[in-house]
Amino acid sequence: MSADHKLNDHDLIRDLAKLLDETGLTEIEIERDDTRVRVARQPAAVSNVSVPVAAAPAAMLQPAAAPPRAADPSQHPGAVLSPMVGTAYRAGEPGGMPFADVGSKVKAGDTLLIIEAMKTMNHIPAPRSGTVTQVLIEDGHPVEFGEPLMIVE
Amino acid sequence: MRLSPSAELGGVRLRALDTVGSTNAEALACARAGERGPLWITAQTQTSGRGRRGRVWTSEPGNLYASLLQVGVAPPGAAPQLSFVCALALYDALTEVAPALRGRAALKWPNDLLVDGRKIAGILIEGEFVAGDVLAVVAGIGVNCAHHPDGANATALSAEGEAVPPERLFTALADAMLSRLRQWDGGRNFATTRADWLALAKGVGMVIKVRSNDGEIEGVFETLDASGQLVLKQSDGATRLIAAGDVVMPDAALGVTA
Repeated sequence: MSADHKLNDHDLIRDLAKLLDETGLTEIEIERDDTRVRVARQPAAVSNVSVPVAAAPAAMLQPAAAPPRAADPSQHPGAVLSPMVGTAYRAGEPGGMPFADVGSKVKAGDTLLIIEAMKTMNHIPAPRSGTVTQVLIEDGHPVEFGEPLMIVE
Repeated sequence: MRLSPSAELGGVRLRALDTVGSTNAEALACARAGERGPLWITAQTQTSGRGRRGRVWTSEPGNLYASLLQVGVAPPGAAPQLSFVCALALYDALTEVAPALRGRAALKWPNDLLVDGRKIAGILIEGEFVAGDVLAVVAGIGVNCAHHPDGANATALSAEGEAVPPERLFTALADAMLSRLRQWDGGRNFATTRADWLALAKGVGMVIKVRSNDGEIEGVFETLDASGQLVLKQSDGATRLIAAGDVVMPDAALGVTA
């Protein structure tokens, strides 16, 4: 991300925070191109998540009555989303050691799991270094495009 | 091993090795080290050849072991379609070097190549993200030229009366792959790939079984959907879309006569 972008993001967040005060809303979320910015009072402070646009419906303004976003793991800033439809495997072979489990420390690029579609085995990497805090899929079960697979924080 | 002049003109390169653990593992290691392909890696023999889900691919000298590395050729969601592209290229190459197999060779979902219902080649495709959203895809292809595993409903070119050295098959395969990749066009023209695959596939319209972690399900193999998933119509009328699993066909679907 360029310095320009960062500056714009900061300005945008500042504007949204101001708007939040003026309107009395608890949460505002906007999405542009591949960037989504959400500003909320509780429980999360400020989050700025880049996600594939197709993976999430565009939400311009969340009414105060909306259910808390924290319940939806796909909205979690640490969510690793499936880039394809297929079957998820947590190990390289049946009965093998899982690539990553809850509590595993991973480096960016480490394989978290494999998604198979049409005998194409796709290694899904950790998008960032951190700790796996949630595993949201079961070994050998189908996953959809955009489905949250794991949370890495 | 040698590439044809047209493949070389197409920018394809070749690294021919004697012995390697696995041509797929080697190609993925190259991608991690910055190689962007298209690059073929071939070997005379593999010491840890692998198949789907950790299965062993026996790799004696005399057979073909080749992997094609490509980077960023398709969006990740379209990469699985390469299974059909590779299967068609393999069919093209095999029937070019052994024309007598035309009519006896057929494809089994998603990418097995059969001769009279027996497996003669296997394809294993592996994808890894190398730079953010850029997917490196390695298509590993093993063809039984001289040897095949015993008793596993497998065959080899030699067993079918076709003496084809792996070198000759490889040159034809690299050419066929280039043509089929151009036809597919990074997924933009999967409709044509899909239609060509369906025309050569076994079991379409027949009752088949699909084995996966969830167990075995049975139904009529109706067609492929627009992304390449197997469309299975079950007896209760439900339609299942299958992205992964082993297809088991009755002998009749394979065209095998007892």
